[in-house]
Amino acid sequence: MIRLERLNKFYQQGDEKIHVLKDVSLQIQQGEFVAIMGPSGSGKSTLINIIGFLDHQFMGQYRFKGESMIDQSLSDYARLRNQNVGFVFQNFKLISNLSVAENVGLPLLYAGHRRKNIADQVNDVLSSVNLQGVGAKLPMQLSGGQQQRVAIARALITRPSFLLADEPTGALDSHTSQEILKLFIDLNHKSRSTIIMVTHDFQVARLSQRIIRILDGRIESDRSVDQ
Amino acid sequence: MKITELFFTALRSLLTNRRRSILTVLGIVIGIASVITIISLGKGVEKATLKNLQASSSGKQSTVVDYYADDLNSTASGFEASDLALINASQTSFGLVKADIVSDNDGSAESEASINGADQNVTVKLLKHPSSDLEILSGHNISQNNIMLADPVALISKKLATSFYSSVNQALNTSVTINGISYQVIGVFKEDMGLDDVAISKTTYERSNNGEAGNKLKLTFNRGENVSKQTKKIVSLLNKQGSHHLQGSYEHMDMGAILKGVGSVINGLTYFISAIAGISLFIAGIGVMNMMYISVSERTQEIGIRLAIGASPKSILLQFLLEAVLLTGMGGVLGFGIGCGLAWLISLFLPFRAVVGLESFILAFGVSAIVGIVFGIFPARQASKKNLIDILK
Repeated sequence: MIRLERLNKFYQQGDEKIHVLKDVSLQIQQGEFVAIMGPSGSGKSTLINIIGFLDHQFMGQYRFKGESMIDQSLSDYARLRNQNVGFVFQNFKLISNLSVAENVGLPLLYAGHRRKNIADQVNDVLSSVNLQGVGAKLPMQLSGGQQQRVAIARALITRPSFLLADEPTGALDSHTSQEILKLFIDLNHKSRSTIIMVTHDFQVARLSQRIIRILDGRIESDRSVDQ
Repeated sequence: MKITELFFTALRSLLTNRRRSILTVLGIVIGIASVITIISLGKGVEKATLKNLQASSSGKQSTVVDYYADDLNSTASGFEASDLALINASQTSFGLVKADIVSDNDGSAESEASINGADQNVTVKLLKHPSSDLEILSGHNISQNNIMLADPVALISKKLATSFYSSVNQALNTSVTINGISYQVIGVFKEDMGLDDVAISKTTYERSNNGEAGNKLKLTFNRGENVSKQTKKIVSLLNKQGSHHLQGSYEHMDMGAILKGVGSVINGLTYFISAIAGISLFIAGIGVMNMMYISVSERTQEIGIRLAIGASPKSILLQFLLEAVLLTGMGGVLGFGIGCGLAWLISLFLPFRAVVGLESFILAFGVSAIVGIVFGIFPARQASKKNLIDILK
């Protein structure tokens, strides 16, 4: 589904040109649960920004479902994000003055649905992350674990091709982290959802099927996890 | 996102910051309210003057020609039957419906009277109803019956009574002759501020006058006639051939011209107030721009989230632009309401009513929406051009 070929990325920082990604090539298939590991500054965030259609400035080739991402316009990128990616961020990134249900339903509005027609879908997806009956609350009224589940519900609502989780347990305690990871594993097993997760914690990464290690902009290792 | 959904999204964030929104929009409310007030009043004046001065209830238009004698003490009437004949001879060429001589001048007439055998110029008050304003010193007032029956009875002033008779009471039951009719004096009144010497029933006076002499000529024209021009023609005809053109002059006060004058004063005032309102709107617009810039920078995270989950830069731009337009538009509608109220309140103290039209509403809403677009576009563009990767770091 995802195929990166000799991907290179440079940053301009002052007068210096920083080479963040160096000839990165990798493939991710439908239904995989992949963990991307690496220390900070290794380029893993840059990599997933490109995979998740957040960053359109790169060199090399990115084919998504066979289609080249090089010639897409900015609004194409917006549509790709809306339809194909479900983002889960470390600090949840919920809009604080919108209710839980509105936060979850927002991607559908950007997909062109009407507010009044999406209530059932929102309720279904909230149930699937074990959050019944909190739709009317504001995000701040929920615990961290609950907020992250709201974010996952928001990521799932458009039935995206893959979930992209950037340190999804980084702001949570170990118990809550376990719950969230269990949710990812369930989604991967039951719904065959493709999940790409960035983490620096091996205890988290080993719950996935495949670990890609990045160091200094290069793929250092790429191997399956022995269950 | 559908435009209706964007609309709700924009409304929502304005309501989240209710106090800030209201304060920001205050300048627009004031600007629009003042413009609507002056425009409504201006229209009210226009409508009222048009209604009062030009068309009669049947839609016909009328003008008045006055006669002014050169000798200020003359009581001779400027219009006589011969003048009517003169004008009626070329009635159609003037587009006239009719010409009437109006004998009285706001309820009084100048006439020559014969009292106790002597002639005297007097001002005659013509009563349509019994007058309670007159303070009767002796005898009794003219009654409704006297007026209805056109009785030849008169009240004379104390001044007149004492100058012709030895006492006020002596004047009672004497007679005054006006226009050949002998009126019996039934009372004497005290002439306070009034200049009238004699008071008689209007119907009686008009009967004696036969409606054929007076100092006013009322001309009624067909609808659509250029009354101002035609009246001028008649005036110049009268000044050449009128019965009294040698003793005085015939003049016409052109209400159309006066109306134009009043209108231009109001127009000038409207421009002046519009200019002030324009400055107010400009400053308010800068306020809106400032608030939108603050809002955009405060809501960077929100913008980032929206972009990440699939908002296109265009829909972010539209959302913020709609917020600005909605803000100013609501200010415009509020200002329109306040302006209408204010105009109504002011017109309570004026002899006309303010007129509010649909075009005033469109003006208020249109101008405020344009202010929103002009001053909202730059902040909205900034919002839509935010770097997604920097926000989400």
